[in-house]
Amino acid sequence: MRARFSRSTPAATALVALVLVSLGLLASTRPAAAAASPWNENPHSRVRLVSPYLVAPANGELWLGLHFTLAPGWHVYWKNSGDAGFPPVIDTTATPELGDVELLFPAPDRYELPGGLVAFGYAHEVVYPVHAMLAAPGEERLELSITLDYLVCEVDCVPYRYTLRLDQPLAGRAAGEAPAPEIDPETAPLLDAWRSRLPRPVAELPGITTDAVLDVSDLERPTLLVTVKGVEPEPGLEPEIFLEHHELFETGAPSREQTGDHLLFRVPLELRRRLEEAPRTTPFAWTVTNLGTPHAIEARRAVPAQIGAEIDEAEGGGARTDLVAVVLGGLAGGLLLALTPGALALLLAFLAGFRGLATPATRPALSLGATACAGAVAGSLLLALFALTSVPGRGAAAVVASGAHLDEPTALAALALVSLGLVLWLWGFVGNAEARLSSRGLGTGPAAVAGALAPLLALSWPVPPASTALARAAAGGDLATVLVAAAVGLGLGLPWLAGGFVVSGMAALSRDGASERTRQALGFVAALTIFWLLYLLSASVRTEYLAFVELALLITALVAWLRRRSRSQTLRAVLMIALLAAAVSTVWLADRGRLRARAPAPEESPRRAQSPDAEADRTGPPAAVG
Amino acid sequence: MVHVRPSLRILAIALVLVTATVTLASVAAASVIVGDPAPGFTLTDLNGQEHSLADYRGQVVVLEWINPKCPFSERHAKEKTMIGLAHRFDVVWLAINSSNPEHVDAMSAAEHRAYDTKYGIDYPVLFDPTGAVGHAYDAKTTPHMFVIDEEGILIYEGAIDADPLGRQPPAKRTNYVAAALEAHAQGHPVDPANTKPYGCTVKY
Repeated sequence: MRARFSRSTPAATALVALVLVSLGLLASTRPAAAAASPWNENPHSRVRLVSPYLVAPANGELWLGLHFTLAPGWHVYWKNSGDAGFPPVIDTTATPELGDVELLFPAPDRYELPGGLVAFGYAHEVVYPVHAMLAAPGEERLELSITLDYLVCEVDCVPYRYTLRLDQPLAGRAAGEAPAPEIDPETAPLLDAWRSRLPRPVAELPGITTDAVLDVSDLERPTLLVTVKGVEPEPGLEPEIFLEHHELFETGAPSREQTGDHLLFRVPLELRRRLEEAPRTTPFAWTVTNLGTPHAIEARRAVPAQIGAEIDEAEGGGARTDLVAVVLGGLAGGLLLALTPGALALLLAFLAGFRGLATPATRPALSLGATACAGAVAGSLLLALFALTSVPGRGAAAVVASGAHLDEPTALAALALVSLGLVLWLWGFVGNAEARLSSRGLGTGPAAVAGALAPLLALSWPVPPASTALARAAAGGDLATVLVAAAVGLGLGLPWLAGGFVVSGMAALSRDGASERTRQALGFVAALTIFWLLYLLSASVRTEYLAFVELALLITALVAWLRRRSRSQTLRAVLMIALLAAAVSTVWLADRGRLRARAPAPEESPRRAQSPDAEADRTGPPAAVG
Repeated sequence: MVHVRPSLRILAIALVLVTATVTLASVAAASVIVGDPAPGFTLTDLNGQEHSLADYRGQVVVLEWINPKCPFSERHAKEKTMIGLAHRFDVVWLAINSSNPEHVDAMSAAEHRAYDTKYGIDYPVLFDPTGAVGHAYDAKTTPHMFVIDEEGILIYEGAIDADPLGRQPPAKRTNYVAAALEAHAQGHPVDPANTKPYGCTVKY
C-alpha cells in the first residue's frame, strides 16, 4: 500500500482533487434529490415544495404540495381571500413537463379583522395540494422549478416570492432506479391529510344534496339561502359556508340553522353595482366546511332569484310563504307607516276635529274613526289592485317592496305633489279644511276619504317591515299581495280607530276642533315629506332640473294661494288651469331631468336573463397559475 | 307653569314621532353602490385645508385609499402608478388615509409630507382618523379606488389594476382606473365597473 502511494505523481494527485472538487460543485448546484425542497424562510412564514414520492411516476397524474408553516397570528389565503389579501399564485413554466397544473385550496377558516373586515384562509400550517399531469418522455429525472408568489398577513401584509426547486428521479428510467414509484413515508401522509380537507364536489357524493335560492326582496341587500341535506355534522363541529368572489355582491356574515341532517345557511349580500332589474339567475359557488365526513363540500350553480323566497326543507328545496307571519308583518308595517309625516299630519288633523265633536264625544268619534280605518284599508287595496294590473313582469308589490318607486323621478314628483296638496289643504289654500275639520263639517265622507289617502301619503317612505311584508307577499301570488295590502291598510287605519276611542283623553287637542293654528302646524309636519322626496329626487335628476322641480312646486303653491284669494269666478277658473299645468310640469320636469335612462318594460328589454348554468359540479376550481 | 299652545304641543309630539320614522327610513336607504351618488364628505389635508366632495361637483374625482406603510401602496408610489394617472387625466385626485391614529401604521402629517416628497405625490392627501369616510365608502384595502363622475355618481370601484403581484411592467398592466376614465371621457359605459380590490386591509 505504502509502495503504491509512494509511486503517485503530483499530477495524478491534482487530477483526483480536481475530479473530487468538480463532483462536489456539481452536487451542490443540483437540487436535492428528495421528497421536499429546502424551506424558504422569513420572519412570518416558511414554505417548501413537497412531493409524496421519493421516486416519482414517469408519466400521468402527479401530486405535489406547497407546505406552509406560519408564525402565530399570521395567515395565508383561500381562493377568495375575503376583504383583502390574495391567494398564492404559482408559475410552473420553468418545468415544461408539467401540464394541466391546478393549485387546490383546502377548506378554509374565517378570520375577523379590525374594522369589521374578514379574511378567509389558513393559520399555523397548511399544505395547498397541486395536481398536474406529467409528461417526461425519455427523461430520467424531473427537475421541478416552481415560482411562488404569496401574501402573508397579520395586521400588516407582506408579499413574498420564492422559486421552489425539487429534483425527483422518475420510476424505471435511470439505471438502478426502481421500476415503480416509491412513496416517502413522511411527506405522503402529510399531503394525504391535506388532500382529505379538499372540498368534495357534491355531485360525487351520493345521498348529499345542496341547493340555493337568492331572495331579492331587497335588491340592494339580498340574501342567499343555501341548504345542505344528507350529512349530519359530527358533534363539536360548527359547519361554515364560504362563497367564491362574486362580481355583483359583497358577502356578509352568514347564519346557520340545523335540523338533523338538514343545514340552512342565510348569507346576507350587498349589491355592488346598480342594476336595472333583478337577474333571473345568478351564478354562485360555495363551500361548506366542518361537516365531518366528508370534511367539506363544494357546489357551483346558477341560482334563481325570487322575492320573499324561503327554502322549504320538507319539500326538498321549493319556496313557500308563511302567510300568517307575512300578514302580521304587514299590519306592523302599516302601524309604522301611520307615523310617517304625511299620514301622521292627516291623522292628527282629523283627531283634532274629533275632539271638537259635541258630547257624547266618543260615539260619533268612534264611528268616524272606524270609517277612516275602513277608508285606509280600501285605499290600500285600491293601490294594490292598481299596481297588480298596471305593472307587468316583476309585479308592483315587488317594485314597492324594493323601494324602486323611490328611484323613479316621475313617481317622486307625483308623490311630492300629493304631499303638497295636503299641505295646501291644511293651510287653507285649497279646499276648506276649516269647515271639514270642525264639528259641523266632520262626517262619514271626509273621514273615509282621509283614511283612503293615508296609504298614498305613506308610499313616500320606505319603512322596512311594510316593504318586507309586501315583498314576501309578492312571492305568494296576487291573493297574498291583496291580503297583505289589506293588512297594511288596517295598520294605517288602526290609529284612527284608536283615536276615536281615546279622543276624550287627548287633553292636548283644542276643544274647538282643528283650529287654524293646529292645521297650520300640522301643515309643516306634512311638508317634511316633500323635503324627503326632494332629497331622494336629488339622486335621480340633474341638479338644474331639481331646481326646476322645486320651482314648479312653489309655483303650484303660489297659484293655489292666489286662487284662494281671488273673488272672480273667471280668474279662479284660469288659476285652476294654471294650477293643473304647474302640477303636470312638476312631473314632466322630473322625467326630463333624470340621470339614468328609464328601464324598459320587461317584455321589451333587449337583455336576456342569464341562461341557467347546467354545469355539473366538478373537481376543484381552476386556480391562478402563472 | 308655561302654557304651550295646543298647536305647538301637537307639532312637538308629531316631530318626535316623525324623527323615529325618518331615522328608520334613512337607515334602510344607506348603501354604496356603483351607479348611485357617492357619499359626501369633508376632510382635512396634510396642510390643514378642508376638502369636500361637493367642492368638486362638475369634475371627475378619483379617490385612492392610501397607507404609506402598506407595501402595495408604496409599490405604486415607487412605480408612479397613481401620480401618472393623476397627471394624465383631467381629474381631481384625492388620497384618503383612514388609518386609526393609534395603529402602528398611523403617520403624522409631517411624516406623510416627507413620504409624498420622496415619491413626488402632489395631490391632496386627506386624513380620515375616525374611519367614517372609509366606512361610508366601504373601503377595504390600500389601495382601493373609487371614480366619481361630474354629477357625483360613482362609476367605478375596486382595484387599481389587474396585477396585484406587480409581475408585469406597469405599461403592460390592465389599469382599471385608466380604463374607467377613458370610457367615461368617451361617453361609454365603464366596464368593468366593479373589481375586487387588493392590498393591505385599511387600518381602522
